[in-house]
Amino acid sequence: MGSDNKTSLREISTTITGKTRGAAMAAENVRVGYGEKIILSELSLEIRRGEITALVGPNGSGKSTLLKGMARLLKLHSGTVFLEGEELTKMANSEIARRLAVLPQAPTAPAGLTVGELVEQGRYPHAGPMRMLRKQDHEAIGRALELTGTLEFANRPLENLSGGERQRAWIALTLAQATPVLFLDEPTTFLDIGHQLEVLELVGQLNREQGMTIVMVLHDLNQAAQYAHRMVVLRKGSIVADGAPAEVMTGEVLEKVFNIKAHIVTDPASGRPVFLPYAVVKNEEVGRGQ
Amino acid sequence: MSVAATPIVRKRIGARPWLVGGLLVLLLFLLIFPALMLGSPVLSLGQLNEILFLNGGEKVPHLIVTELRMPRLLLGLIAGAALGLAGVLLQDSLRNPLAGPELLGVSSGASAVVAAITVFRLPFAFGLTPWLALVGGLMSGMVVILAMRRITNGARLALVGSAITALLNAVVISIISLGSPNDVAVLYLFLLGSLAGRTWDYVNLVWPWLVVCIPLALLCARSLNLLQLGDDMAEGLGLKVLRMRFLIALLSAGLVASVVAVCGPISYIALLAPHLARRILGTSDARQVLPVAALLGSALLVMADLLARLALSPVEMPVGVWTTLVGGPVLLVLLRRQMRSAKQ
Ligand SMILES: Nc1ncnc2c1ncn2[C@@H]1O[C@H](COP(=O)(O)OP(=O)(O)OP(=O)(O)O)[C@@H](O)[C@H]1O
Ligand SMILES: [Mg+2]
Repeated sequence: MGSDNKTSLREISTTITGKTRGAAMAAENVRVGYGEKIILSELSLEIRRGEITALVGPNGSGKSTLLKGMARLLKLHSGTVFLEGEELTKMANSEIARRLAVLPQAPTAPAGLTVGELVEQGRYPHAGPMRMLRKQDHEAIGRALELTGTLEFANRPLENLSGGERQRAWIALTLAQATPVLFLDEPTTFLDIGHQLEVLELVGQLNREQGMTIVMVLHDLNQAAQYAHRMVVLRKGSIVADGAPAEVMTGEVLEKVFNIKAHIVTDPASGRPVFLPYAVVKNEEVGRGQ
Repeated sequence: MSVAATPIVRKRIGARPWLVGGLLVLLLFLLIFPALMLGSPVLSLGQLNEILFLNGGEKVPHLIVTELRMPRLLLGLIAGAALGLAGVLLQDSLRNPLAGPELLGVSSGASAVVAAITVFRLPFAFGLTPWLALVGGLMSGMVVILAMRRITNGARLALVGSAITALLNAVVISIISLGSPNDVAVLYLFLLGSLAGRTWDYVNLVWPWLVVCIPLALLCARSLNLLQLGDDMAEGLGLKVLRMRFLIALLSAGLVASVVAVCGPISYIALLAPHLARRILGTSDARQVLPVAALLGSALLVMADLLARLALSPVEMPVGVWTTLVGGPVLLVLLRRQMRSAKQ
């Protein structure tokens, strides 16, 4: 993707509202929380079509809350979310499910459920009146299993798989949903580094080959910088930095948001920024610095 | 890339659900014979044949079979199925392995009405009692379900259900404590749950509900499968979670209210049948578990009722005693195994 193209897209999307052609999704002034407790207030964010957006930030900064709010899994106190320019609240839930797939943080499955049975659930929003699986459903399930490399486990119960295999099975479920937009909440947690990269490579491949728009919460900033087109940094419920990895990964942001001091270098192979932490900033110092 | 259009995902054990279902249907068929023949008097196959198909036989055995044993068997079959289905509906939709119809307050409401009628000698015709119990059960069920309507947290849902039920049970106990010893004995039998002496009138009160609710329950299978993956996942896959859970609770109340009104709160069938079904089938897929739990519920209740009639004959023990005595320990074993396999 050329950088000129990107800039112009960004310009358009900032001048017009969330209904722009470039925005796959847009949150406008959303206020969302749990019960009376508001976590995000007056937050706006646009997700550009065809991009991988990484949401990063410390624990409890509101990443999952933002993802769930945008995916209609949490009720908004106020504000609007648009999916391809349409208001989510005005769409049927199954219609949303055909266009947006969500993988929550740490999902659970009942005992004995096989990978195949799990992935089959992804066809629910597409199924016909009797909810029977048709030819196109079996094709989509097969494709999802194949893409994630889980075809060989199709008949194995989920609890008998390794963490990485299990995670790929859950991703296969969302792929069977065959949506243009995919939300992933910490898809790499509990995985070893090899399996982490495997999942991220899969995400990159889905983006490149299927043109999927992907929003994912990641904890590893270097991985976010490596695989995402754009990083959105959250801190205490607000967006404090937003842009291409090279713009976001600065000493200032790392210090302010994560309380660390780090050297930032550029990976010669990818041209993406990489940070090397060398010190923790004491909380008091940050407090005074504000 | 070529992907076959044929089902790639084969079930692990292709014929198994059909086999299990077939065997259970066979078992139910075989249970017809002891259910109609045993008791006092004990009838021979020949006598039974005469009574059923030739409309003959002696007058008293004929009456006992057609007016007592047949409605009792039929009631056992449909009540067991309803309890088994309600158990699956509630356990899966609340993701709570111990959820059962008690949680909905239906039995407490029905019990409260029966207790009030008996103790206060309310001037209703005797035949009206089950109808009033049904109304009481449905009303208290509605209260609980409406209270649970907006709650999203599974543990909180169960808590609200049991809190309201506990309150209603306290009302029942208070009413009973006002009654004469004779009233108490009558109510005690009702509260244990029994199929004894239930005539066609009772069957007629129950079956219309189940004709409507059983097919609806079976239609919930795919939604239940989604709910097992968690509320977020289910909502993300296009299910309206709160609305569906509300409907499922209503449906469960519809299934058990008439049963409780007629037979009293028979415990453990609704807990046991779903767990047994999952274990036998080796899956939690509601499309298989629902019908098998229904068949198992029928079989368990009819067998327990046979025990109730025969074990201490001529004295009859209420069937609820047996379902509790046998069901409790079996459930314990099942849950222990489940926890052990979850740990691995
Ligand atoms: N179900 C809930 N009920 C009440 N408060 C919640 C709930 N879930 C999260 N919170 C609170 O909301 C805030 C934001 O949580 P959120 O889960 O969005 O953080 P996060 O950025 O995803 O963190 P993590 O990196 O640990 O996943 C936290 O303060 C948390 O305590
Ligand atoms: Mg989170």
